[in-house]
Amino acid sequence: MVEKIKQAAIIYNNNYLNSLPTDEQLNELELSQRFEKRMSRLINRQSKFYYPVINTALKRVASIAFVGICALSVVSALTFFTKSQNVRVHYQNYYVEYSKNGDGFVFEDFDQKELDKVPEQLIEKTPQYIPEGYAIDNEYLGSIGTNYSTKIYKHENSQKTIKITQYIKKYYFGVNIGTAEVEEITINGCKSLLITEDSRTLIMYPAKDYLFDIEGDITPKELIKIAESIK
Amino acid sequence: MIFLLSVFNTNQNISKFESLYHKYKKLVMYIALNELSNVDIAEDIAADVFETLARNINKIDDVESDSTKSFVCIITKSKIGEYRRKNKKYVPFEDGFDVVYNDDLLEKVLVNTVADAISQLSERYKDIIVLKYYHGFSTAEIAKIHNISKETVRKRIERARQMLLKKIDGGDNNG
Repeated sequence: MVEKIKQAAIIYNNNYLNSLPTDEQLNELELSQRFEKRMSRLINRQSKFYYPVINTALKRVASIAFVGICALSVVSALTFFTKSQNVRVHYQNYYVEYSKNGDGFVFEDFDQKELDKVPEQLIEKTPQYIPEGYAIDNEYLGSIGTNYSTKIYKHENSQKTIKITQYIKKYYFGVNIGTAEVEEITINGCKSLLITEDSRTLIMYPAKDYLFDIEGDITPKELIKIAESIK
Repeated sequence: MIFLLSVFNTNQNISKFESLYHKYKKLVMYIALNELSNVDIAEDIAADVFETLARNINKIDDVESDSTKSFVCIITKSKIGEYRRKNKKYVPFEDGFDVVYNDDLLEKVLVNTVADAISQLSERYKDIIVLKYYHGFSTAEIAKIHNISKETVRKRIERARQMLLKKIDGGDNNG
């Protein structure tokens, strides 16, 4: 069937071409100067070395670049994921141990000799920096399992809070992370943890004698600044 | 070496394009003028045709061949169709089919009858049949030439076949 249409297409095409005027007849047709100039520009453009590149090779390069960008994105995503996993593994191996419940962990690699020097009595530390608009709203001391002090700062308009809890470092300390992202950061030369989940950010900052837990609905940058200012 | 080859290939294409232009510029203008009866529009169409030919220069082997002449004519008619579609307030619906014709019908008729039937089809269906069955272009290549989707090309090929069979069966004499 296809063969018959092919043959018919050849016959039709030949008939059509034969119906067109001959070159001699077409010579009578005059083309405007405007058209000739436009076509001359097209021919000149073709002679530029970059024209065929733009029309052919560049499209190929663009395709390759697109594939490259996609591949890079996948690699970046994998690297990010692996890095995040590595940080978790690092803390699991060195000073974080998952509890039997699955989603909690405790700090436990502190040097015991150093910890023994830490006084039993908690001496409260205060951050020198608090973001604008925040003022102290509540503070209290606690001693359930370990001695600690908590300070809650509240924003005057948005009612957002920043909570800073100071623990005596010598006691084991656990935190619940669930599915949150954990990243290793350095605050005042101490290895610390930046834990983020949705808009909630938490910093675990083990300073010389104390361990600080700073959390709030503010940017990690601001939280780090608060942690760095604790004296 | 690859660079030299590509430059050589490019130079070859430039001379091919120049030859193509000088050989067919008047034919393209003739077809466009014949269809549109307006010199300015015909010249715009012709310029568009040569831009398209420049992009598809690798599809052309021999400038002097009937195959190239046919290709140039089809591109010209395609650009005329495109212009008409853009300048119409609405596009008429394509014909639907009450009866689906079977290819077996082609067995019973002579090749010349099929060729006559092709000549009675509308330009869009004639062109698609020539591009597909005379030039042997793939669906993707036809889509690129006509600047339409591959799906539209597939539909148009199927419609062209059905229109052709309808003409052969004598079911339609309106063209």
